[in-house]
Amino acid sequence: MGTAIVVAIAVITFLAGLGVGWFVFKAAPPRSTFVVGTNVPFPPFESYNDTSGQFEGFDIDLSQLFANAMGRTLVVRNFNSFDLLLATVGQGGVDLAASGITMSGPNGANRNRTMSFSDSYYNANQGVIVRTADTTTCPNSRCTTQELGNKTIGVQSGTTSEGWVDQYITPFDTNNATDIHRYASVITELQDLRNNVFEFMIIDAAPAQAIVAGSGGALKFLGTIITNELYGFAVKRGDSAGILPTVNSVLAQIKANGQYDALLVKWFGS
Amino acid sequence: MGEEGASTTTERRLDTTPASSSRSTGLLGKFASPRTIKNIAIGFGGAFIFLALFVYLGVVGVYDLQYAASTLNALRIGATNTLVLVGIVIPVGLSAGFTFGWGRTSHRWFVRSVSTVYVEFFRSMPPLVLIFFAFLISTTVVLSVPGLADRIGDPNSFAISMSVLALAFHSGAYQAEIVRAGIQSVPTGQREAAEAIGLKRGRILAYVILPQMLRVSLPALGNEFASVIKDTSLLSAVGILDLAYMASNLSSRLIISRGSIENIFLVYVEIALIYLAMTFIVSRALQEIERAFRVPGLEPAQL
Repeated sequence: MGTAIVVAIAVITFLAGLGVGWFVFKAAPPRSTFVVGTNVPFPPFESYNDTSGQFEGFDIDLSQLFANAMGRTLVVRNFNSFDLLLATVGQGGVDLAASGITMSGPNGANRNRTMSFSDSYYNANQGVIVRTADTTTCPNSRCTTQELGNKTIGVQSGTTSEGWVDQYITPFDTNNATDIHRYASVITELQDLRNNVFEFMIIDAAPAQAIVAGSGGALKFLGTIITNELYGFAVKRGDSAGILPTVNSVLAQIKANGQYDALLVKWFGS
Repeated sequence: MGEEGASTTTERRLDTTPASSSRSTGLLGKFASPRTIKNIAIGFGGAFIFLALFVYLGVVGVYDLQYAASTLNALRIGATNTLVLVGIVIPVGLSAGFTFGWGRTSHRWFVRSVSTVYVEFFRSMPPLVLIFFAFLISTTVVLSVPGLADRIGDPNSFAISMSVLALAFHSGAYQAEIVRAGIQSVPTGQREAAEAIGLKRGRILAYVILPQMLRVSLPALGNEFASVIKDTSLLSAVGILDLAYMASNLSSRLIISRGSIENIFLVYVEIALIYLAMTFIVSRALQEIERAFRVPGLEPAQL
């Protein structure tokens, strides 16, 4: 009996506290931070610089411009998996996802159902990386299913690279030679490529070039797979926070005044 | 009056070890015993010699000293964040452990069942699953209750905090069972005797139950602390930049932009050493506390 009364009082007090809190904190000021989610490493679009303790890259610089236009402070949060980032932004857990996200093609069509995208800010193709000793060649640096069919391939799961492999390679496995290795992280994927676990690593062309350039001669860029993917910034489905108009107008503005090209030179060198 | 005097003489006769002779100076005095100070000095000396050896191996070229030095900044950021996590997880876990451990032994069915539900829920999931569960569910709840997101502010940082709390409560569930075992190790006769000489409930807890309980619980609690320090590395899964994240980021930089993957082992050696140091300090501190909470006459038998 005594217990019941104590519990009742506790529950009532708790609920009353919640109710009071609800009204006291009603007039919350608009948030002063602009939270951007990303998934490193994906150079030159995004990476974590441990010397400065900051995230940096093409996507991060663009996000900084959006934050400036809104008069808010940029906060970059890392997600250890690309899938978790997409799941979070679709719900609105972060204001913007800037992580080289493809918004076109079959993967893009799926993503468009769960999140909203800005105008495209980059036109990407897939790239193929192999070990330097590998003797495969792609005519005119254009790789197709001709070269990649019935081989061992590594991809990062949840990416358009995986989507391409699932659309053009896996269904045409004629002699059971195809072996697709799927990785949550690019790091383990690269380790396995170097350790000869699989032969071809497929990843978006720009990071592929950056990885090869930084590999100290251990890896080479075999060629591109023309996929004509469009990168966009993702926000909560329906954009109820009204972020996309600012993002799109900033993108249009910097493409017109040359700032966009300057950033391309800064991060891609051309 | 006379009785009290008699009891202290008995106690003095039992206390023959140097640590117990300083009992009269209070709890703090016990921790700063000469033996403790000597141990700390030995610890620092040992660490210094070890570090000197580590640097020497770099100088003679066993590993790349220059690279090791370049990682120090990242390690400093990571270690700071890990320490902050430990500083949140251990106190929250310990409070939860004590509350629910006590609740598990309560004679009130309601308190007992709430505590049991808590323990069984948080103990039945792997910590990594629990962290993701807390992260995803708090994101969903914050965003689906109308008006809640505006009041919370930043849903992502709320979700990250919930993941940290989830880990703390996971550890708390284990600690609750440790505390329960400790409380239940005190025979009911002790309590009845204390009641018989007229002690009030709070005093029974403070002077009779707690000292005898801690004697049993402290070694197991130390074990749990050592384990939860390392479990904080799981929080890098939701994007916290702790030591484990720094290890994976440093190795990714080696693979992607610096080229010498031979150095990856070095990153992990460094990280392992830092975790070892943290765990070692905590477990030694616990050992000192254990010594301080020894109950005269109830010292463990030595085989």
